[in-house]
Amino acid sequence: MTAFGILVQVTALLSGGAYVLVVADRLMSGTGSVRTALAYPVRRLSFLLLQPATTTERPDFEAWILGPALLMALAAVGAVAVPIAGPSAGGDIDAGLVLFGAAMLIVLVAVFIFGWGPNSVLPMIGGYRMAAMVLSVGIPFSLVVLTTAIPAESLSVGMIVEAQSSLWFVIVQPLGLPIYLVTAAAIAFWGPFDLPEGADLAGGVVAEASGLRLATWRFARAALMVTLSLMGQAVFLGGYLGPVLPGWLWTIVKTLVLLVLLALAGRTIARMRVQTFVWFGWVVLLPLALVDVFVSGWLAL
Amino acid sequence: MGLRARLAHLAKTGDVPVFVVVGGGYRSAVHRLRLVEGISIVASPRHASVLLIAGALTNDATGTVSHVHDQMAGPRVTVAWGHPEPSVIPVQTTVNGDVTEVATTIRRLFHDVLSGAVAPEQPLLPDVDAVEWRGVGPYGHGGAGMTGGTPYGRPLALRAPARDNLELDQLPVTVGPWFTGFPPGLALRISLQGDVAQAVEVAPTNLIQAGPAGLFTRALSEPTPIRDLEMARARHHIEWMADTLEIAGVDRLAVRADRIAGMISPGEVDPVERLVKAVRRSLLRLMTLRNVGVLPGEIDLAGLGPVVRATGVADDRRREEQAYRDLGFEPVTHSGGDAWARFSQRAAEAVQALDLAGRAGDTRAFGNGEVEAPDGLHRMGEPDPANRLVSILETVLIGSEWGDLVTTIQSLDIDMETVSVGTPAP
Repeated sequence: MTAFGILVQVTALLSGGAYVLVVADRLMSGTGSVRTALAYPVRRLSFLLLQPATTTERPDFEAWILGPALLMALAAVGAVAVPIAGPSAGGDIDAGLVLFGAAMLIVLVAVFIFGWGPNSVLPMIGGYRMAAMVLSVGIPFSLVVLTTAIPAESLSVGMIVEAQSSLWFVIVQPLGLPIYLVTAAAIAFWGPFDLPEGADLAGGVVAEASGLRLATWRFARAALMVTLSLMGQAVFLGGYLGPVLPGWLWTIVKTLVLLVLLALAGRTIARMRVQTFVWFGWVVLLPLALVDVFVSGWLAL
Repeated sequence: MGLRARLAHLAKTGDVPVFVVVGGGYRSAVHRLRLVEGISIVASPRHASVLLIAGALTNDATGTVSHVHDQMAGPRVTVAWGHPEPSVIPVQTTVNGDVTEVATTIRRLFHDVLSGAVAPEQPLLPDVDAVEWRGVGPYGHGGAGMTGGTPYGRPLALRAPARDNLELDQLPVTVGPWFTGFPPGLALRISLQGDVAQAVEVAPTNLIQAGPAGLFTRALSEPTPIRDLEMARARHHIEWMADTLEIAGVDRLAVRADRIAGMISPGEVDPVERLVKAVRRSLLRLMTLRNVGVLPGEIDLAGLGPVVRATGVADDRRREEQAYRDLGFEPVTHSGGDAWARFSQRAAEAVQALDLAGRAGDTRAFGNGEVEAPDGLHRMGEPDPANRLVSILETVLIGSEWGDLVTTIQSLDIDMETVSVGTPAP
């Protein structure tokens, strides 16, 4: 597949997935009808495009503008690492898992500078919170993702999918998917780990944002959720493998299942305190992720 | 049709983002407005197109409300609801009707301003620096006199004693009085070290004009049906639960709580009990409220209603009232004294109040100058419990992480309507 083809594929996937996520999230919010929810993303985007971007006193404009752009780019880079339809359909990269892991950890930088940019206290605290969160879950997140490479003996996501032809890794590595989903929700700062955008900060990193800047940020975050779900289904749920349906359709179905699961968790579980989250990351998730690594390594011997 | 007109056409069929400045007597009304489809109450004025001034404010509020107005991105319009003329800032229209009427007005104005039929409001304040900018370079570093203190009115990070062996800068900020995480009208001057409050001071404020005397105020001096008092108590607690759930990020349950508050009837405890079960499933205790906002033992909590009862003390004026004793009333208590204990306490009191209202018939309570209101004991001629709660904030909030600070304040249920702190700066 050409570079242009991959670009079109990733754009369509992230845009479609972001639309589904926003609609699902709206439906789960308990306000409005299905019809309203289906139209919500377009109406909301139209409003934000009409709204002028505001400014604050002495903002760091470069950081404020770069934040959403970087977040969007990271979501796209992460998505590129995942083959959609099959090993020969393009999009597979030799060390795709490493590329994905690196891109997801740099999300911290995007959120921090977006919080720093407006020179305002509530967004700045949102940025601090993101730093505390990613430092706490970055290691377990990376460990459970890289552990899927052990039985596949490859860092290529396509090879990892192929290694699941007899049994999905969600069964072989039972700790992997739960830890992945928890840490993925934190990296996408999605509820119950949406601390950088919490209501107790009046929106945190987005408290001062409006118009196109806010629209870009919202889209980038939804795209990030899609990317994380896309990789989750590839390394734990067999990716494009499945009977009857074409591979690309299996990818979409499995991605949507994880996406809706994450959206549901965000709407039904209360936001975690920062201190509790840091404790949870280092005392619970990290040891469990290490167990995942050791058991998988032992089974692979 | 041009692109802008097409966008406007799509946008005006969507939700109207509204930022609400809540004045005297309108807290409950704003909860009902939240339930109106097509109205989205937002936490930041940057996200709003409509500024709704609900209830009465004092003239001291003009400056802060003007700031909120000018922070809106636009196109913006302002509506006053139940606000006596003239309003604290110029408004497009004043509504004195119910929730339906104000929602209709808001939607109409939103349509009109997007379609160009109504001109968007211009800023109220000049777009100039509050104090002349004399720093060097884009961020003001290096200018003479730019080290330490608050040069030219802008606080700079200060060195502060080490906390946890970490040398962090300390940043003095003022948050409020219309920050949605605080009770309307409350402003705090906070020295932040990272996201931890190292010093807290309640800023002088007297912004909210008390609304018409409520049921509990009237009950101080006249016989009042217990059914009415307990229904008002149940609604108050359930609406407070909705606020807590919203801040904790479980909006779905917050909406459910607001719906229950709007439709409950005497004796109907099932919806509230089911809500509490759903709240437990949301892990609110484990994730957000456990061990947060524990009040120091040296603080006298007598008369502070659910706050003191959440520490296990059965302090309730109603047990001295014969009419309540005849109904078999016994105060509910919880132990722990943290934010979760206060949530459980108010949830249990809401259920108890609905049960009492269902059994009270026409029985009346004779306050004789005292009444147990939802926020504690009110006495004729004495300050409301909110004044005491505000006075302890400076002690209890020091050392709190930002989220815990907001949770603690929310858990105390402070109504600034009857609170006046010092004299606001001009």
